[in-house]
Amino acid sequence: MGEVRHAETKLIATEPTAKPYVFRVGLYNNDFCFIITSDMLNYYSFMFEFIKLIGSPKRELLLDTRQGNPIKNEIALPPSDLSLEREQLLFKRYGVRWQVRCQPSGIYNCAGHVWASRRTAIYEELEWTKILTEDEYRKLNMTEIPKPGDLALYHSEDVGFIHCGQVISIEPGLTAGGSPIPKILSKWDDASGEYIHFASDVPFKDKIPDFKLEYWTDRR
Amino acid sequence: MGILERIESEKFIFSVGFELTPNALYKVLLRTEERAELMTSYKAGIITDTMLRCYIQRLLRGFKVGQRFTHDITLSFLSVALEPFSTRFADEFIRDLSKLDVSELSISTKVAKLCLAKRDLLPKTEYRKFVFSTTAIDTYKEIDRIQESVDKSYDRKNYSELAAA
Repeated sequence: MGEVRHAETKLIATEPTAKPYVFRVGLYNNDFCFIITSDMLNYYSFMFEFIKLIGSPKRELLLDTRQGNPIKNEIALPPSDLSLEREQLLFKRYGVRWQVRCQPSGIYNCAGHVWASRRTAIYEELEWTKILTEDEYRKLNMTEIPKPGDLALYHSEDVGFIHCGQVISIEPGLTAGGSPIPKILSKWDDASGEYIHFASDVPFKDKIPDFKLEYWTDRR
Repeated sequence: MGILERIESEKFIFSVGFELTPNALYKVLLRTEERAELMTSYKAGIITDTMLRCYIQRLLRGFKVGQRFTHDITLSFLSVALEPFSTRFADEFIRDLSKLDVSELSISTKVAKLCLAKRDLLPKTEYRKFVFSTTAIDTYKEIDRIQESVDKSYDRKNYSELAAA
C-alpha cells in the first residue's frame, strides 16, 4: 500500500499515536507514505526502518594483511559538534601533558592510524588479532626496550583490546638508571585528534583501571 | 531529571569518555550507575516498552543524513541495559539495531552486535508444544484402564493370601 507525492520535504516521521500507524518518509523530492496497520505490527518491525531507508551506506577500503586476507574496515564520518565539544572537555580533563599533533577528524581510529595509514578505521578486535598474527608481529618481552615505530597495545583481561598507538620516542627515566619511558602517538577514537603522550598517560585509566600495556614489533 | 533524560544529556555522554573500541565501550557502559537504575525501573515497570519505543522514536528525529548521530552513545547504552531482558521489545531493539548498516550509527550497531552475541549465550527456557492425536489419547486411556484392573486383581490376590494365612 503506498502513495507517491511530489513535494520537497526532507523527513517527516509521525509517532505511532493512533491506529493504523502512519509513517511518512521523504526521499529526495518524493514524499512516500507508508501505512502500517496494527495487525502488521506483530511480525513487522519498523523501529529503525526509516534509518535503513535514508542512512548512508558504510564506506570501506580494500585492505589486506601481509598474507592476503581481507581486513574489515570502515571510513568514519567527520566528528559532530557534540564530539568536538566532548574532545575539548576530555582534553582539559586528561590532556595536561599531551601534545596535539592534529585536530579532531573522522576517517580513521587508533588502529586505522597504525595499520591503515590514516585512511580508514578498524574497529573489530578479531581484525586486530588477525593483523598481529598475519603481519608477523611479536610481543616484546619485559627486558626488551621498545624502539620508535613499535606499537603500544592497551588491553584488559575482560575487555580485550582497548587502544593502540605508535611509539615515537623513548624518553629517559625519571631517576638515574630508571627504565626509559616511551612516548606514544595515537588517536583516541574515530572522532578525536592525534596526540603525543606518555605511554601510561591515557584517558581511560579511571574507566578501565585494570588495563595492561604491551609493546609489539615487526622487527626480527 | 529522569533516567531517560539523563542518558541523553551531554553530561552522561561526556562521562563515558572517548569511544575507543566497541568492546571497551560495552564494558564502560556496563559499569555505569545509570544502567543499574534503568534496569531496576524497567524490571519494576516504571519504564515500559511503550515509553522506550516513543523515547527511541524521539531520539531518531535528530537523525541527519551524512552526519554522526548525536545519540549514538544513548542507543549503545540502551542496548547494554536491555541486554539481560528477554522481552519482545528488548529483543526487537537489539536485533534491529545490530542489523543496521549505516555510517551515521557506527558505534551503537557494533555494541548491539556484542549484546546480541551475549544474549545468545544466556540460558533460555525453551517452550515445546506437543500435539497428541485422539488415537494416542485413547491408547493412554486404555493403558490406564488395564493398569487399574491389574492393581485391583493384585489387591484381591494379596487379600485372599492373607485370609488363607
